[in-house]
Amino acid sequence: MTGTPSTEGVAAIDIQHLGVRYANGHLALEDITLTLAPGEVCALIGTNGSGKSTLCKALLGLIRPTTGSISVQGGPIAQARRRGSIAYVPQAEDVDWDFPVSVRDVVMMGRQGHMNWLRLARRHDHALVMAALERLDITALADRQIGELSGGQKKRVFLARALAQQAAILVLDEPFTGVDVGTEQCIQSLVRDQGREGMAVLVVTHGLASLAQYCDSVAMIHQRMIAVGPVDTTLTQANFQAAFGGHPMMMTDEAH
Amino acid sequence: MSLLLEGLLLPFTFDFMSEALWVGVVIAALCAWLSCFVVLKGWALAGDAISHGILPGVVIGYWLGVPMVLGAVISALGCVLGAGAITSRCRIKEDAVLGIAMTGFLALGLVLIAASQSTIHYMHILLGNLLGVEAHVRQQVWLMSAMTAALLVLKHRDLVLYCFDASQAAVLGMPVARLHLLLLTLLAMTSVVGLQAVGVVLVVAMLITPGSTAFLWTRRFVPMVMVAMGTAVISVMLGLWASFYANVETGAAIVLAQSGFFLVSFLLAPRKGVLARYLSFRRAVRTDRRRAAASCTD
Ligand SMILES: Nc1ncnc2c1ncn2[C@@H]1O[C@H](COP(=O)(O)OP(=O)(O)OP(=O)(O)O)[C@@H](O)[C@H]1O
Ligand SMILES: [Mg+2]
Repeated sequence: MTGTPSTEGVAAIDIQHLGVRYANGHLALEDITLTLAPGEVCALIGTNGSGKSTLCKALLGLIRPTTGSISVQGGPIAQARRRGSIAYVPQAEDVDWDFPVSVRDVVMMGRQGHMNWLRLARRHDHALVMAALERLDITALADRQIGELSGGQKKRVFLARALAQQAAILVLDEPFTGVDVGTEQCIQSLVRDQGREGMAVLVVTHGLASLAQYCDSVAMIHQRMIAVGPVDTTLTQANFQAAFGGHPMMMTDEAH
Repeated sequence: MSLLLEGLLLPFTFDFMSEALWVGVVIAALCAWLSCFVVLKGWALAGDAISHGILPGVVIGYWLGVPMVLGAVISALGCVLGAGAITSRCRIKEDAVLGIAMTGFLALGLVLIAASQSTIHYMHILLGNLLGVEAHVRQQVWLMSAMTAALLVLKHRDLVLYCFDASQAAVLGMPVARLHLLLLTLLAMTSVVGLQAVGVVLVVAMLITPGSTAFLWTRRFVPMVMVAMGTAVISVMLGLWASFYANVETGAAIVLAQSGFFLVSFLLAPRKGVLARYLSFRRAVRTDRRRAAASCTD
């Protein structure tokens, strides 16, 4: 991984007793403790409004924690961001789809943190952009304007941007919403491969059936941490009912 | 033909006209460049507030004998940042607060002008005076244009990313708050430059119209900047011809030409113009019908 200091034995993500309260007084998270080792793929699940997106944003430093601490690769978040160590694909992209940039331009933005102060794209950057486009099978769309894509294609573009960033940590907030089976499998295999290459991945999802196939661990939250651990021992009926308010667990992916 | 060419070139054989042309071209190109960011960021109203907010600073700057950029930037930032601070602390919508701030600053500027002795000087600030830009002002224009252009080149990628996706810029560790302030400052500096041509009242047009026109013609950022600059520069020429031959107010003529470009583009631009969109829709419907008819007869 580029831009990663020696991280042997250091947790990729270390969240300790995190609490987040929004400015309107709403307590979104309370006493969340979660650690991810390098190369660990962790699914984050919970009901709507349980605080999953809030946890992601706090991890990225987009929201300030009210209590507790977060360290990334053993250091503060701001430092990790400046190294380009954290890549993020938000739940809903809040961008102007009419903006005059091409798909290739957007993916290149993932490289921007690694460029020197003149921000010139070097051959290495172009190669990584091409590779990311290929990995997500959108090379043919490279010169389209960003608004001229379907919802699923847009999702792939932002995943490609995160991939091109070559980060050590990847945060995906609901990458599977509104995508077809093919795209879903493409993203899952991507996540698995990135994990094998040493990237720590936190992926928010509502699809439970395929969790075991691409995740090492699962964290179930409902404002507080309900359960966290390996998928097979944690995703139990009892934990599920605690997290999802008594609803019995259905092992299908229909609840996207 | 050569008679027409002669007629077009004749005005610029006069020194004051060719000087006005140079200054006007630089001012228009710079404003057009900034206008692309303004339009894409959805900052038309903020641009308006900045361009009006500079007035008290410019007047006070004159009084104190400091370079007018300094006063202008401070007062413009005071205007928009003050409005921003108020918006985040009360329930009045942002556009209303910006409107209050901008008209308040403009009125303050007018009061200050009335309070000062010589009013002739300040008419230039309100309406612009491209045909009579003084030498020391021209130097300020060159200097500020060079500085702004250099910053725009150096910070190009960061500013584009900031405008497109501010949260991604933050995730990549960029100083988002500083980029925000940089863009506001550049806007204030450009407003000061722009008011030399068209005055405080109309300078916002130079900061909105060329970018909007160019947006209709292009699908990439750099071409958008080029088209914006092109239309702005041609507008300056049209404005100067109009004022030379028809004795029209230069600043107003420039802005009118820019508005004309926008209107024509709205109608005729390929892909994004109304006519092109209508025609391509009609064409698609016609093929649909033909195909449907063919499948019926099969
Ligand atoms: N900007 C905000 N200000 C105040 N409260 C907020 C804000 N954003 C979210 N919340 C509240 O915080 C709680 C957690 O929200 P969050 O977006 O983290 O949920 P989530 O688990 O991602 O839900 P979903 O599955 O619907 O995406 C919710 O109750 C929500 O209403
Ligand atoms: Mg969410």
